[in-house]
Amino acid sequence: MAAPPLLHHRLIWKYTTVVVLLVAAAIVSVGVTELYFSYEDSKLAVTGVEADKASSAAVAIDQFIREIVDDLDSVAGSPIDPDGSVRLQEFGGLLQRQKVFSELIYLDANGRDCVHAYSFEIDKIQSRTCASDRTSSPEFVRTKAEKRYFGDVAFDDRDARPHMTVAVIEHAPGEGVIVADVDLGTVRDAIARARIGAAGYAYAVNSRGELIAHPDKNLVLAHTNLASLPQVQGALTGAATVRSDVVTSGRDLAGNEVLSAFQRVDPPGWWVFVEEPLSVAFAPIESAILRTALLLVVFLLVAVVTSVLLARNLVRPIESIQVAAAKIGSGALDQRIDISSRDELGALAEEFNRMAARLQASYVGLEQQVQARTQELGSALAELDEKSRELEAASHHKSEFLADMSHELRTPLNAISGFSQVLRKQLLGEINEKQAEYLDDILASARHLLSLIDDVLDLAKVEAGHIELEVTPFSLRGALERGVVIVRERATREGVRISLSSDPGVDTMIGDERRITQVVFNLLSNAVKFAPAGSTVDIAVAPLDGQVRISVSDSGPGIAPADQERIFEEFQQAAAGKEQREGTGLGLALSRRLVELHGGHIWVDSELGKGSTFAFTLPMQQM
Amino acid sequence: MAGEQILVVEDNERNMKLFRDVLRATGYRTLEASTAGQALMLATQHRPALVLMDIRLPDMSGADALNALRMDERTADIPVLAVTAQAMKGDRARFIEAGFDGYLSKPVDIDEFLATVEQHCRKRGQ
Repeated sequence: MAAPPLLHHRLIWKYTTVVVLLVAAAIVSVGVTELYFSYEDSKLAVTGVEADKASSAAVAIDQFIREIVDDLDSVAGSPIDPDGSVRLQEFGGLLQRQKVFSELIYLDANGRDCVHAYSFEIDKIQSRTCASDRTSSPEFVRTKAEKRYFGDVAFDDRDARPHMTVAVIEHAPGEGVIVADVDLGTVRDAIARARIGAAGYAYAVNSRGELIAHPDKNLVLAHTNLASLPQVQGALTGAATVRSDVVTSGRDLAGNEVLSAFQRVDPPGWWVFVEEPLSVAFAPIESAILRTALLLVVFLLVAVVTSVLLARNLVRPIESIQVAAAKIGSGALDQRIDISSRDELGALAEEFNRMAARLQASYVGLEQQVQARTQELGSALAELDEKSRELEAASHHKSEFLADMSHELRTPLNAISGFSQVLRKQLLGEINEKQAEYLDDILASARHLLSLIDDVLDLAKVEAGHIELEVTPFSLRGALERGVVIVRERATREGVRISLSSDPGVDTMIGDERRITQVVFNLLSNAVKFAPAGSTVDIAVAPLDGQVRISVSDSGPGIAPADQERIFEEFQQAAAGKEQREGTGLGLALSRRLVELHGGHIWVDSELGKGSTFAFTLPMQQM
Repeated sequence: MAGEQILVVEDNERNMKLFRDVLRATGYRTLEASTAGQALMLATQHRPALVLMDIRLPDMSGADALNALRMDERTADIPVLAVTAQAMKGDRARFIEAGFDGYLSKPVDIDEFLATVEQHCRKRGQ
């Protein structure tokens, strides 16, 4: 059961991963898009405000400068005023009307200070007769050249208010210069108003980058030059191409990143900057990012948990189907799946249960059939066993009967033969010739009877399958020679020669040597019996079609064709055999059985008057 | 050689008569038993020179009688010949293996019978 948990894990993690990835992709893409646009929107909003502030400050300053220039232009006429009193009067009016002017001076074409009015002693308007010479002063030189002049911003020693020298040229004919000292409190206030938020601030620099207005008065008093700040540098150097609504990121003096909007005021060639630290400007965006990221994480966690639960719900039925399948596979056919869901898995489980039920039913049927067949087989086996026991018993009885038969026949034969021998040997006294002849007849008959008994029993044993061949390798020539030895005495007595010619290529055979010798003896004794005196009995051995052929030939009376088959049957003898009144009529029958037991074949070739050749074959089973 | 006592164990009267007469005619003395029980008794009492043992006896087999003789130290060394009508294939080997000193199949050849008896008596005498 190692496989299901593995499958379980694999499937569940596969599902989980897919779901989490999908959800994460959706949330992340939505979140990132949202963040991007809100970032852009916020940036646009912040920079828009900055640009607006910068713009309104610039407009205010511009208006202020324009007014000053207009005011100065209004007193730059050329009245017929030999003693300067008219101009002085005009100056006085302007000073009274416009409080930003603290001093008004008229320099004539030669740069002499001809009319001079102060706001703080407006009723004591001075008029000198063109005393001090200011021809080399910048306000005179630059105004003569450029019709207008804006001096550097300076600060009052007493109250540190910013002020500046502004000059315009006289509208002909004398072409003097009107010089004014202008209080820049308005500019300072405009800059101060332009600050945004809590951390935002505004400042203004002149065309060289020097501070002219800044919330930090000390920086202004120190004439701090901000030209090194990237946004200021950009504004100063790229002045021609810089658009009024451009917002860049720059740095403040402390090196912090700032979002900066700037606007040019020209004249007098100033730059108004409205800035806010980036961290402050984008604080709302950062918190939005934080919120979105938090939501993302929360949603992801929810997605993971949900998908794990979902996957488990999905995988559990599959797993239980798998487990049930494994159990059924291992033989538990009564296993069923318990899934109540009304979906495809439920349908699958139902189908699976149906299948298992069918399998179980057919298995039970099969089992019953097997059981029935096994019972049948068992009873058949028992029957067979019984039969075989009966057969065995019958066979045992038969072989016991044969042994008994042999014993019972031999016992009286022992007395017959024994007493006859005692008489014939004249152990108990002499007997006459006729008595001796009769005793010889009795003994011959007893011998005949004994061989008859032996042959009948042998044959019966073959019939009953009780002859067991003692199969061993043996020398065929040796067996033949032993057969010859047994009949030699009789052959010699009857004047018959025996010649044995064996094939040297055929010697070692496999079979029951004693039985083969018995067959050879039978054939030889028949041949010697019928061979005429002085003739020869030939024994020959030759290979024949993968077998060995052993033949015994005599030149006896021969056997009629009609008798040739018959003589191999029990108690059947040919005419010559009957005449001889010798032999049991069982020898050839027994020989045939023995040869056939060896897988061979026995037959006779004969013609009346021309002798007979008995031959048998044995399978060639050389070692 | 003559005069040795031979125990003939044989349940067939005519065969008993044959063996007895032949043995006596040749000069042996005989003891006769028609059952194994008698044979054991006589063998213990007389300690004959040779026992000729029939195999099919009414009370026990010749082989069992042989074992009984061998178990008794008084008779253990007496040679015993199986003289039997059991002459099927393999019988001779079986009897020799069972411990008989010799085997003669019925019907006996008288010459062979006497030669075998004499051979065993002489062997014992030496």
